[in-house]
Amino acid sequence: MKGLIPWRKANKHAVPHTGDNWSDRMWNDPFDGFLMSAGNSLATRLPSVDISESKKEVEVKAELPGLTEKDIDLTWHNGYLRIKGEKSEEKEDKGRNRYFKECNYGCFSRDIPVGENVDFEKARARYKNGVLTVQLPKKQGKEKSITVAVD
Amino acid sequence: MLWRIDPWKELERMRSDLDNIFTGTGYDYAARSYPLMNAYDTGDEITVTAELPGLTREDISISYADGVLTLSGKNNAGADRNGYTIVRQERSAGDFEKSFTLPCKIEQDKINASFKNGILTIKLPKCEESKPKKISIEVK
Repeated sequence: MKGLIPWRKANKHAVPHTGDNWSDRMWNDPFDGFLMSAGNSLATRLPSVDISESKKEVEVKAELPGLTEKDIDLTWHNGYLRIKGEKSEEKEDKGRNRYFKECNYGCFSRDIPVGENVDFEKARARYKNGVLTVQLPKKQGKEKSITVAVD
Repeated sequence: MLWRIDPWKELERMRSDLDNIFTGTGYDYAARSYPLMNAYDTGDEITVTAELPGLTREDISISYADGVLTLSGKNNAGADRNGYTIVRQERSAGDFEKSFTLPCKIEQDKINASFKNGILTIKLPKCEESKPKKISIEVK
């Protein structure tokens, strides 16, 4: 039985890119950051997300392997992008004699903070190789720079 | 954060999670490493699936030796992009390698793999001797 358990070499592992450590995250963002972070058993039911921004737009990339465009629903509300969907188990997989199962299936919904300063009407989304990319253009002229006078 | 929960499904999931802890293997927590994989027996073959979102065929390599199937490759998620600042990064990146021992002999030359929507499917046909056999019962 032991032989069936997947393993990997200790020195060759995929390291999640996180700028902060988990304890920082726990305090800064208790529910979204810590409890739901990638690697946590709860979180593996939610898609992992990368967020980056440029001067012109906010870009969200979500890992949604095994879905189609039809399975994904995107909404925007008060600065949050909601990715909702359902991942159905492959027909072949159901009821078969399973050795192990690590992947999760079922409905999921995740709210991602993207800020109020984006134009959802002009957002572009595409799905390729199991990754959903949403590009939300920023509203122009909203950001103001303030000069701070130093005594 | 709100999502629809089917309470019965959740309970069922909790139960199976607990079973996994106490039945000794505990792999569900210990080895649930990137990439997530499923393996199942379809009678004449063994099917292994792996979730590799964002990768391409060229990034993945599959090898089989001495009854051990090894999946390795490189995940380029989160590669630097000019003009973009990273706000949050949860996706795994880097080299990966994951192996497991197949429970029976397989036809090495007939292994085939396909990759679609971030899911890799490897089909490993069993050797004739490993296939399930039907034994007819003679009634006298």
